[in-house]
Amino acid sequence: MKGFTNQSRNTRSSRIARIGGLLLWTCVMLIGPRAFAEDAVVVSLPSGGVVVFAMQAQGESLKALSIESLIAMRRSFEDCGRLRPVEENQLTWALERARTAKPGDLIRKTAQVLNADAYCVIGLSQEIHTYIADLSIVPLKPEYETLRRTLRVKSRLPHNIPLKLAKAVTDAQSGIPVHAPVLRKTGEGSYVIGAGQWHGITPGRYRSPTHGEITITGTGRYESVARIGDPVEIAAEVEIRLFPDTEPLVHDLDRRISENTIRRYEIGNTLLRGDDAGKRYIEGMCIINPGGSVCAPIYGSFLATQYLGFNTPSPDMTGMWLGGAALFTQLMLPEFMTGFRGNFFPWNRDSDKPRSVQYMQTFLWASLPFTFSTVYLDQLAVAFPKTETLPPFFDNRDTMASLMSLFVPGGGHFYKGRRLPGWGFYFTEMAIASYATLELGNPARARYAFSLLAAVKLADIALAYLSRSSYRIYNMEVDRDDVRPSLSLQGRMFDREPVYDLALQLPF
Amino acid sequence: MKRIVPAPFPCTCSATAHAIRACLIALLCAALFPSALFAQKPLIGLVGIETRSPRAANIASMVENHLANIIASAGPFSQLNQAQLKRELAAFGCMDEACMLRFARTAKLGLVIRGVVEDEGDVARLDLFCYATGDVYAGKLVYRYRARIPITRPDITARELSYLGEEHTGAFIAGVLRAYRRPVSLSVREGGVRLDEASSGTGSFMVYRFIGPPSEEGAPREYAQLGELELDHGSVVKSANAGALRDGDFILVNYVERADYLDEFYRGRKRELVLQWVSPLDTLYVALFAVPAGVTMPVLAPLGYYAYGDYRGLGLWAVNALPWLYLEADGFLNRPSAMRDRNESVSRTRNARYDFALYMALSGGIPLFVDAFAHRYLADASEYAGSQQVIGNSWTAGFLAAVSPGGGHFYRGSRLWGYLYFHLDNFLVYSIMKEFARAERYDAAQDRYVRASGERGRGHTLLYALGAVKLIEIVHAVLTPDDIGARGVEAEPLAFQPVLYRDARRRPVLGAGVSLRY
Repeated sequence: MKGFTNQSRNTRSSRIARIGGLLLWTCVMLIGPRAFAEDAVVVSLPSGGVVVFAMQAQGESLKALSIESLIAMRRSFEDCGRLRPVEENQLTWALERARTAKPGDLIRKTAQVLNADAYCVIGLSQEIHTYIADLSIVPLKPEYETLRRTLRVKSRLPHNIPLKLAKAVTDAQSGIPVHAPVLRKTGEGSYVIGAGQWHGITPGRYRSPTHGEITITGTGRYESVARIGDPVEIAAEVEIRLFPDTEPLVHDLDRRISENTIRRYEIGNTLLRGDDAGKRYIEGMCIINPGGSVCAPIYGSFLATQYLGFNTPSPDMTGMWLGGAALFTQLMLPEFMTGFRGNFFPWNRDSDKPRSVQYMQTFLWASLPFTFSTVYLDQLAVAFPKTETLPPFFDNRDTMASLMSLFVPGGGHFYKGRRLPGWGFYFTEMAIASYATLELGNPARARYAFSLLAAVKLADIALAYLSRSSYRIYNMEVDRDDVRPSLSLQGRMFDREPVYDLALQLPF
Repeated sequence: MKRIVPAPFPCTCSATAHAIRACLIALLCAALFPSALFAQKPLIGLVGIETRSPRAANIASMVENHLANIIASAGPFSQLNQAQLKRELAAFGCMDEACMLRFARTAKLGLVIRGVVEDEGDVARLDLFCYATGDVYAGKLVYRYRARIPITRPDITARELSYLGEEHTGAFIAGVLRAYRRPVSLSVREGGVRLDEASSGTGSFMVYRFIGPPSEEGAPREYAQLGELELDHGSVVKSANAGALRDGDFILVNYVERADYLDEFYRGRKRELVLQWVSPLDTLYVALFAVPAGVTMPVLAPLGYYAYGDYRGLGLWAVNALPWLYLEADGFLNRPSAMRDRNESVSRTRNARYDFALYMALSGGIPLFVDAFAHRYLADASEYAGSQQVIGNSWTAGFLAAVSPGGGHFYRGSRLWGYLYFHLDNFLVYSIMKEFARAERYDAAQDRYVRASGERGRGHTLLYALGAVKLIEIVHAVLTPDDIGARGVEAEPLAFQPVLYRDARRRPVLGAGVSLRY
C-alpha cells in the first residue's frame, strides 16, 4: 500500500481503504469455499515475482498492523532487488482468477496464476502485551529454495513488527544471486535479459556458473543488454553471481527498531515525561549524588536515584555492600598498613606514616567521588530494568558508555546495565591505581603499574563500547536470534532477608 | 493449462489488454497535455509522494508544491499537470514503480519524480527519486535524495518547515540536473552536422551511436562513442569524425551550470534569511570579548553546552580539553614565582608549563568557548530559527583562526577541523615554549638564580612550522563555508574500489572509483 498525498487526504485515505479492502477481500477469499478452475490462464512475468499475503487478523489494530507489515515486506523485496513484488492490480486480477480454489489452497494457486517465484504469508496475533507475527516464505521455483523458512517474530511494540518482518525477509535474500531470463536476441551474441539497475546490475563483466562470463553493455531499470559467449535460447535463465548488499538495509532496519524502542522506553518519555532526561542525568551525576553522598555516604547514592523519577522503596543490597566495602577500604587501608598508628587524614603526615602511604592515602581520599559515582550508577543499573525504562542518551549508548568508562571506573558497563563487569573494572582499576601511587617513589615499579592501569582502562573503555546492553526490554526488540549466554548478579530483599542471585542465562 | 509467454512486461491480464490500455493512456495524455507532448524540453511528471500519516502527508504536500515551483523556475523541463497526472494514475491503479514507468514511457515523459515521506517520530524521512525514460536510460533511476527533517522542535513554525522543505527540494532538483544528461540527436546534411533541437550548449561533447536495430519500446539499448564534437551556443563548430557521423547519432547535454546556479541561489537566499548583515566592525567587538572568553572557558563552555543540550559537544569538550586544562592548571598551581619564593630551583618544564598556562588562558580557551555557543547558533540558522547576529562573518573567522587554535573552524561549525587545529596548534605551542624555556637553578651560596643555557635551533624550526600551520588555518577558515545547510541529508551508499580494465584500444587503465548503488 502506498498512499499518495494530494492537496487533501482523500487520495491517501482512498488508497488505504483500497488496500484494506484488498486485504479484507484476500482474507475472505482465503476462507471461501470455491473450487479452482483447472484451465486457468497463467501469465509469465519476465523476471519472476513474489506475492505477499496476510492472513485474516482479529481486531482493528491487528488489521492495521497487517497492512503495515505488507508494505514493509514489499519494500524489503524492492530494496533487495531480487524478487519484484507483484503489482497490486495484478494481484487483484489473480485473486479473481483463483477464487474457485479449494480452501487452504487459494494462496498457492493465486501465486501460481501469477507465475510467481515465491510467496509469503503473514499471520498476526496478540498475547497480553506481545504482538506475534508468523512468517512463511514459500519458494515455487527450485532456484529460490534457500528462501524457504517459517519463523516467528515478537515485539511489545506494534511499530516494530513490520520492521522485524522486513528484516527477516532481507536476511533471507542475502544469498540469492540474480536469475535473469533471456528475453530477446538483439544481435550476434547480444541479448536482452530480464535484470537491470533494479537488480543492482551495472555495465561490466559478471561470472555466471551457467554461461561463463557475461558482459553487460547497457542497462535499463529492469532489463539489460548482455553479451553472452555461449548461444542461449530465448526464455532460458541466466544466473549472475551478484548478491544483494543487505548489510546497509539490515542496519537501517535495526536503527529504526532501536529508535522505536528507545522512544517508547527511554526515561525521558516515561518516568520523566516532559523533562529533559539528559540534563537530569548529568545533574544527578554531578550535583545530586555527590551532595547526597556527603550527607549519607553510599546510601545517598540510592537516594539520589529518585531525582530521575525512580520511586524504588529499598536499595539494591549488593551494590550497597560492595560500595560500603570499597568506601571502608579507601578510608581504612592506610590505617591497617600503619598498624593504626598513622594519622587518619591524608594531609597530615607523621613519623608513622611513610611518604608512599601518604601518597596512596591521598589518592584513596581523592578518588572517593569515583566510588560514590560507581555506587550511584550501580543503583541506576538496577532501577532501570526494574521500572522497564532505558537510560538517557541510549541512542548513542556505545559512545556514551565509553565516555562513562573514561571518567568512572567501569562506568560504561553500569550504564549498559552490566553490573558484574562494572564492579570488576572498578575494583581492578582502583587496586592498580592505589598500588601505582604507593610505588611513586620507585619509578620503575610505578611505570609498570601505570602501564598496566592504562591497559586496563583501555580495555574498560573498549569493552564498554563494544559490549551489548543487558536491558531485556531493549534486547527483546533488537535481538532476534541471540544465543549468547549472559551472566548477571542481583541482590534483593525478600521477607526482610537479603537474597543474592547469580544467574547464567542462555536463550534458546 | 494454457500459457501466455513471454509477456513483454508484467501485465494485468494479457498482452492485448495491455496494448489497449497503453493506447488509451497515450490518447488521454495527448488530449490532456497536447502542448507538453510536442515541446522540445524534456517532459517531467511528478507522480506523487507516498505517506502513511497525517503529519507526513502535510510535509509531502508541501514538498510537492515546492517541487512544482522549482521545476517550473529551473528552466530545462516542461511539466505535466500534477493533479491530473495523479488522478489518471490513481484511476488506472498504477501505483507501483514498474507501472509508473510504463505509464511514463507511454505518455512520453522524459523524467518521472516520485517520493516517500515516512514519519519516524522525531524526524520525517524524505526520499525523492527521479527516473528517466528513453533509449538511453530505459527507466533507470538517475538520482535519489534522502533527508531527515526534524519535526519535533517545539517552536518550529509552518514557515520554517516550508523553508526546510524547499531547501531539500532545491537540493534534489539540483542533483537531478547534475545527474541527468539529455540525448540530443544530430542531423547530417551535405556534409554539415547540426543539432535536431535548439540548444545553447557550448563546449566539447562526446557523440554516441546506438548499436543494433531499435529494440522494443522501453528496452535498454547499447551505444558506443564515436568521437568529440565542439559546440558554440548550439552550433557545431568542429567535429573530430564528421565524415563518419550520420542521422540519429546523438550527444548528451548536461545541466550542470543550472544545477550550480540553483545551489548557489538557495545558499545565498538562506544566508540572507538567517544571517544578519556583517561588517569588519563586528570582528572588533569579538576581539574585545576574546580574552574574557578564553579565561572563562573552563567554566562557561561546559555550561554553554549543558544549557543548550549539546551533549555531544560536552562529551567532545571533556575528552579533548581535559589534557590541556590539566597542563593549564598545573602551570598556574606550580608557578615558578611560588617556587622562587621557596628558593627552589625551577625546571625547564615548570617554566614552559607556566607560559603555556598563560597562553591557554589568553588564547587557547577561546575556540572551545566559541564552539559552545556558535554551534547552537549555526544549528538554529540551519533550521531557519530566527536571524543570527554573531555568526557568518568571514573577518571574524579569520581573526579567530589567527589568535586561537582552531577558533575559526569552530566558528564556521566544523568541529572536526577545529579540534584538529586545536590539538596541532597547542602541541606546537607547548613544544616551542619548552624549547625556549630555560631551567633556573637556585645558588644558595650567592642567593640568586642561575639560568641554564641551551640550543634553540629546534625551537625556531617549530616556530616556522607553527607559522605555516597558522597561515593555512587562517586561509582555510576564511574559505570554509558556514555550516548552515539543512541537517540530516544522508549520503548515498558509496563504495570505494580500485579499478583495473582495458579500454577500447586495449590499453590497461588503472585507477580508483566510487560506486553507488541505487
